[in-house]
Amino acid sequence: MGRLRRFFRESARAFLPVNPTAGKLRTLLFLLSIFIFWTTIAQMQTIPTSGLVRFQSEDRFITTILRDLAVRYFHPITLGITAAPVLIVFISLRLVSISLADLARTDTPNIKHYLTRCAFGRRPMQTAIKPELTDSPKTMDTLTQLGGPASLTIAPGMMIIIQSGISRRYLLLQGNDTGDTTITLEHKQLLTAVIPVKDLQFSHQHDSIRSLYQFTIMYKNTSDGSLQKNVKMQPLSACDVQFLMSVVQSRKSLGLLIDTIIETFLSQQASIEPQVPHEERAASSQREKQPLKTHDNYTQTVKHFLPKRQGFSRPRSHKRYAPSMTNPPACDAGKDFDNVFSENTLEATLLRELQSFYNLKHINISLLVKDKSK
Amino acid sequence: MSKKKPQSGSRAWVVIILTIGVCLSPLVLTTGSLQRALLISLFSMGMVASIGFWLFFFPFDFKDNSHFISLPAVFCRLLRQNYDGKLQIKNGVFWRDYFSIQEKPHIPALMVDRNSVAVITNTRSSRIVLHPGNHLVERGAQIVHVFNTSPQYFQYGPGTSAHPVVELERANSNLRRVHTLKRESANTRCQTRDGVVLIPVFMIHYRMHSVHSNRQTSARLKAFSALLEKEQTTGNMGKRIEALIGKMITGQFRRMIETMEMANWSQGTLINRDMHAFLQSQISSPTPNKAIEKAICDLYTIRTRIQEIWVD
Repeated sequence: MGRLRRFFRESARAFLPVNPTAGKLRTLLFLLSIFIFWTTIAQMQTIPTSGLVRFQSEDRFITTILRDLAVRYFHPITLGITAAPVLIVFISLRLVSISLADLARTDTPNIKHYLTRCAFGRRPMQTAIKPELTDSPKTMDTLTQLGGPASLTIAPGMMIIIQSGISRRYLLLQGNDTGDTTITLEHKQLLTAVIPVKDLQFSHQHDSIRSLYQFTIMYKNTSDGSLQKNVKMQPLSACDVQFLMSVVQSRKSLGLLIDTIIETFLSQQASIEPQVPHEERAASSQREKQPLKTHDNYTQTVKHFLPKRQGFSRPRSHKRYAPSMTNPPACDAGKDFDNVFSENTLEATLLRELQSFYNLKHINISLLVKDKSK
Repeated sequence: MSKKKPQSGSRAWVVIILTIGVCLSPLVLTTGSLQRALLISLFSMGMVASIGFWLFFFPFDFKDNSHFISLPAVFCRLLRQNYDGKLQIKNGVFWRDYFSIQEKPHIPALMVDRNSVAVITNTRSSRIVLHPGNHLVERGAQIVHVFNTSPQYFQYGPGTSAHPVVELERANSNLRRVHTLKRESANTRCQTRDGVVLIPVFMIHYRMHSVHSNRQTSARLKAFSALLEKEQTTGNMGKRIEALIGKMITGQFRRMIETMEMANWSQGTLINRDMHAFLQSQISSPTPNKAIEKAICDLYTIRTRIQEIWVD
């Protein structure tokens, strides 16, 4: 069984690759085999009694041979049997496309075109991915349900997610910012989603929160992405794809989740003990600048062994970490300290909560919090 | 006048008859019996080979090459029956009648979309999780549960903007509305120690952990499916999961409320804060009492918020 499997796998790899060269070679091979079949059938005709071409009966040698050949090759039986394999190939194509139309969620002609494109290396499907999607739904159906081979032109400001049909891994592709970028969607690679970059910029519009904050979610490329032929490529996990799809398809869901997180955060903030005023914090930082206390017993020991170093004592080491814990975080000169503190915490809370809820690993979200009350 | 489109089944039959005609044509065309036998076998082999040739290019998700053996059976079934979109699971929803039919029809192949995952049982009574993609289902296997993996949200409790008791009085003539309000209010109705009745409305967000990549989650999903089947629950699990999560959260809320007195609560925000903290800690705690609740906690990430609390 193992050998049979290996044989199937190896033969499929050797004879059934999907590319224009292989397709043309397959067409040539198909025509050649039909020709061989035709000649074989013609030669197998033993007693040709009648044919399409009729010669007058003469006794010349060459005429006899020509007549014999013509009668053999253009005999209705020979032509019928030769046409049968061609019919078989195209009937089976129709059979396969009819039966699989339900499974692929497209119509029969779509599958037929797709299969002939794969088999005979016809010109790949060409599609432009633009902000205003002008392509027919049929084309998009083929690309999303059946996949490549296809040539995609990505307009600036557009991103696409493709999925490998074999490894089931997702890849996010982003075109050049200046002009259109053309990429090739290979066989068994499906187009999962088309995402306009501006759709990822999210503005939450709840009445109670709108007066205080405005949020923007932006997508950033992470470090593990690569650049090939002006196309930024980045592997994505299934969770990342689900998050991106939920942002694009249903903004309401994400909006409500953000609303929940913010309300929980605000209620927790209200319950926390009042923060230490800025003056007190400044005073505490002044306190930390005073000289550190020293160990007196260590002074006695040093005096005994090093008589020249009188009055030396080692400072208490645990005090060294105290200033970094009590110092206030750096803030801009023109901004109120408390405001910055709460904004940073809210941003961090939102990011943490969203990442934990959607199980995100490879996507960075930057939340720009703007105070509208100013 | 609209032109009626021919059914795919009837078209398939025309093509099948044509195929048989082509394969049997050597019987008419040739004379010698040996030649006839040779040509018929050649044509039949050609038919099988060319169907295999075309099927190779179709993006099936072949996990195991043994599927090739069952492929002719699948192919014949696909041809014979007109499924009309019943072979796909989209957004966690499968053909509803399938679960109510006693004699389950054999589903030869199944397409699971990106937002769904299905659990099937085969003849050896073992459970298999079908991930997104095209799958060939072996003979005798049955689809037990279908789950939605995308992030979802729902409101649990009476869905009214006015007080449910006032709304109930208003909707006296509309029996359907009365029934819905009574049922929704009873779902989340709870009482404090000093006898005050509270009807909270929860907004719950939930999502399944990544079943596509994590083997452990797939195992949990199988265990959860077994638990649900014990309770004789099968089918599309979207609404059922929402009811279970809502029930679980209401139970936790009820446990908290029963130990408290309304007289001690001075500010609404304070109540809200305490409840938020309590509910979130309860959901994230690893040992809920019931096995089904534990399975839900293991399988789903849940965020909840109390949207309203109606005091009766």
